[in-house]
Amino acid sequence: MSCAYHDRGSAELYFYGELDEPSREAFVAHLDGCAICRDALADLETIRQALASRRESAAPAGGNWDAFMRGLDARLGEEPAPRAPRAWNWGLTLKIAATVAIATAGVLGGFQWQRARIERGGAPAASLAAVAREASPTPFEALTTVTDRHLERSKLVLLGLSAKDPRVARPSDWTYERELASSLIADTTQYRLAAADQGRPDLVKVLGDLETVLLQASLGDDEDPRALERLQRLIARRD
Amino acid sequence: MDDAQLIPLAARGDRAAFQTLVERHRGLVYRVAYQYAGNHQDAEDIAQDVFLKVYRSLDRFRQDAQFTSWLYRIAMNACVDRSRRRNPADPNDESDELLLSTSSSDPDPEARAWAGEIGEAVRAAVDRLPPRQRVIFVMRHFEELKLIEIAQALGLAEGTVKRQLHAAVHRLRQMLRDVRVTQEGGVA
Repeated sequence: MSCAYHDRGSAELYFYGELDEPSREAFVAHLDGCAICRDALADLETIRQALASRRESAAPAGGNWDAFMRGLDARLGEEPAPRAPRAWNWGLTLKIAATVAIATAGVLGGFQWQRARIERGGAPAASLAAVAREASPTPFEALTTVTDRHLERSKLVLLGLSAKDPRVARPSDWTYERELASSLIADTTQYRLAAADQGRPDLVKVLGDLETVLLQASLGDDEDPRALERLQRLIARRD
Repeated sequence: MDDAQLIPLAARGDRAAFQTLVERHRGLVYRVAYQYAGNHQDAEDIAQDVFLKVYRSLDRFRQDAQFTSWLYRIAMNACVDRSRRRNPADPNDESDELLLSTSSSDPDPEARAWAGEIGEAVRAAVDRLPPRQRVIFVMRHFEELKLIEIAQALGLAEGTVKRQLHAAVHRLRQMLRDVRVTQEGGVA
């Protein structure tokens, strides 16, 4: 003899108040004609009564916490100091944001100047695209594509790596950051080269730092438990 | 000072702030540990494990979450981990039984008188459940957490938790039948 309600655990879900209202009503209606489920509920009630005498304790024997606290203190004493929540590396972010904004403004300014020159009767251009190409030779084009998105994505890598605790994080915990870093390297290199072409050593330095971190993150060794710690030091040194 | 103010301080290494957190929540953690372990020695070890883990992880605690929910989660996992550490091969073999044997071998006289043989047998059967079934049963039966809360705390699907509860109840009922058969046999 079997019962589908019983087999799917409806009796204990009913007993513990875990059935939604329609299921509860259906089970109650079913109970009248099912000895299996009635037996199950009777057993559950017996179990409840039996366990009502199970001792509970919210404190060590005698209510004395001294030994517990001493033991905990001793074990805490063997622990390294907890890591403070890592603040976001605003230094590096602001440097990147500021230099990228300046570079972009320079390129756009050049573009506006070129267009004004054409409007004033300068050399005609076949199209706006041609003007853009003239105003932005290849390295500069790279800088015009420096977007907030790139910065935001780079930030995700640095923030993700900084926020993890290397004592407990496994290599698989930062797979996302590793893959994202890998996808950002090529663009970052382009921006750095473009900045060098523009004669912007400050921008070159910042983008170079970012490139180094991204490269190291992308090469993170799955087998090396200290890789994350080294990356965090690398990021901290480049603040 | 409330938990939200203490947690960042403790996360930066302020031992006094951490001690205040421990003193404030040790009762809850100990109760869960004791419900699971059934004896003071194991409950103390589990509760200390929980606070050590809290200490190591405070910097990752999300302030938008309830600190007590987070403690429950760590406590439940510490209970399961402890049983597994004790007996990694088979969580339901003799050594698991030994872990909780203290509770069943040393019930106080009042409890023994009240519940008799069935009470003692049920308590021992709970203590012999496999670790995950035991923690799910204990959290539902004694701590009265909803199954969805237990599922979230243990990182399991709610359906899995329901099946584990069903399996736990099945084992307890089986034990109940065995005891009844024994009693009837004894009477006969």
